[in-house]
Amino acid sequence: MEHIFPRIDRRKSRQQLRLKYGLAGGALLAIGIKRGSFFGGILSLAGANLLVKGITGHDLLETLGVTSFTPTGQNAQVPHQLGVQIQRTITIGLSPEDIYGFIRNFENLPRFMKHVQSVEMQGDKNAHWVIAGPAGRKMEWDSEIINEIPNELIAWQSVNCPDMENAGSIRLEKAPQDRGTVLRLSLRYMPPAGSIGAAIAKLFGKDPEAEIAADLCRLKQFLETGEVCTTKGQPVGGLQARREYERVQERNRELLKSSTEAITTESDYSSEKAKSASASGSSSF
Amino acid sequence: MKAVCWHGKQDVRVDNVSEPKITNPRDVIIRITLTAVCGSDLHLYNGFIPSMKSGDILGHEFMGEVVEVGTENGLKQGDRVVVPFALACGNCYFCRKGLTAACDNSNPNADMLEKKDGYASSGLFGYSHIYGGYAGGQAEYVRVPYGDVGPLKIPESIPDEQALFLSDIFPTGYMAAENCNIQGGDVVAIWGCGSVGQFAIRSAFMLGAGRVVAIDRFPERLALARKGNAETINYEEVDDVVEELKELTGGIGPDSCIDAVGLEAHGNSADAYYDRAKQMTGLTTDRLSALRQAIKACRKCGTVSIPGVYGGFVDKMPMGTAFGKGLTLKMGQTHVHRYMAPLLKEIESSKIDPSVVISHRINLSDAPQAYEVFSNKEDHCIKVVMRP
Repeated sequence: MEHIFPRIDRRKSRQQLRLKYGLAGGALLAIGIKRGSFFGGILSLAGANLLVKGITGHDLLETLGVTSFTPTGQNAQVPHQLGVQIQRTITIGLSPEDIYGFIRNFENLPRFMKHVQSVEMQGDKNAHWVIAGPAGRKMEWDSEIINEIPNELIAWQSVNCPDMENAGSIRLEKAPQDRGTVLRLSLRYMPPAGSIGAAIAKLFGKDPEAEIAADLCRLKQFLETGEVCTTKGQPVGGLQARREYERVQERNRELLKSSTEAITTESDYSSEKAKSASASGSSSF
Repeated sequence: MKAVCWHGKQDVRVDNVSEPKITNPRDVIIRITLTAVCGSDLHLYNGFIPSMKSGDILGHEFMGEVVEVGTENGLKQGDRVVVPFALACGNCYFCRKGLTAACDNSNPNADMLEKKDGYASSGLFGYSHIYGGYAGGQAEYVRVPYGDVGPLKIPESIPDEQALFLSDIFPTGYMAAENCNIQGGDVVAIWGCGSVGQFAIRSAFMLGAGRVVAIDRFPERLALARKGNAETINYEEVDDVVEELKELTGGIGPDSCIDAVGLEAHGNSADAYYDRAKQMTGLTTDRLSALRQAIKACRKCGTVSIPGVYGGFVDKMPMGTAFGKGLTLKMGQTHVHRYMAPLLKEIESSKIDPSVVISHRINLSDAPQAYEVFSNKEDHCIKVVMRP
């Protein structure tokens, strides 16, 4: 197959053709269903493939990892099913030294990485991660830093994680003019259930590259402004308003109850917070 | 508290909602004393802006009194402030350059806006989820993030009605005029005599324009434009606005043109009907008969300045004309923060009284009727202000 279809970047043409794919797919599907029989079944499958391509932008064939149909360029699928690779760049208005100091302590990562519940440093180069994985599963593994150049590079890989081997690196480079630092994040992992799992997750809208992009956005916000912008808990009208209002009242009642109960443990909590807030003095989001 | 909430196309209601709370350290909570309905709110009302959800609180022009402060940020309880409609962190590259409407860090739904625009600009109060989904200020209280950057303190000598428009329409009209790059004595033509157009007229004179020609169809708006020393054209009474402008300017054309109309342009020309037909069938999103006229009318090597809001795509945009005449097009959301203090000085020295644009003063509970009247331009409506 790869010899017949040259690997060209089809992303742009695919987007333009999406509506046509969708319409053609819908028509083929309808014809196939109406026709029935074996040939009708083939038509239905082809129609379903085109319809899915029109709606989601992804081929059903792509999900099965037929690489010749996979677009090239920056994306979340490495050819030959060697796991998922993500690369993302962002410019942050701090010096490489300040950023390095913050992220070198992996315990800061949960502050901006949505799916990382906690990271515990065990010595200078080793860490224990707890992740909220796909379908709400909790996953844990250890990592070790395999390469680092202060203020330029941190590279790590997982150890003892047969379920989801992963490796990553962060490169820091001074940005031109007074823009700060260019941060390049590279992640590579073998998702559970192989690339089929990743592909099915992608069909239903969970795009790991987009989630990592959002994580980096939160990192930028946290480092530049001291907080992560949010509209959580804000007032809203209509039917939602009554439910939200009741939820806020309930939470306030619980907070009041727990604050009176937890007076004796408050000192432990504040020392925990002091340990994890190494580079910046602001609270987490 | 009471708040004006969007519930669908042309369905705006006053709901009872919870009060906002401090969520981030740099937040402040404002008790609103005066708020307004903007022409761009009508795009939400008429269903032109996507990503609205039933229950969203509207309103991006508001001012009031600080009632709660997150951390030390120069504001304290009791301070009387007016708040810009765009949220700006003050720390990112764009904020540091004074381009606060392009803030990198104030949009929690940046990924949505990135899909549309390539890069996400700042969050806005009360203007749909693609711009952050922040609860707006047509309410009794509002949470203002980055309270150390946005709110501007107003002296006691300036009443609410004069200070309120520093939140949006006065800086918008001013930036539109500034973008025209007015040289002394220039002729500026302005499409749209709503409140933004009115401030653009007065700002153009402040910046040294020799003549301003204002174009609209509503007599009360044209009258208010004349009060601001503009010459006026009622486009329903002339055959061809472009030809009329040519005659008025000795065959040269205005040096710069301002489109203060935006995506819901009305017109009675063939191209205006074409836009409407395409919009009704979903084949285009924005109507641009005002912009087309501005491009046609502008003199060669002039500037077209666009404060009017456009959201999506336009059809039959005369790029060939714009190129052929060597026009400069300048546009975008207003970088309100950098204009507020200088314009406050203009108000304090009585060079301008912004309250002249107010035509209706109502209570918050009458907001739904106000939206309808404003949208249909009934009752000589120009600008509606509301007291919670």
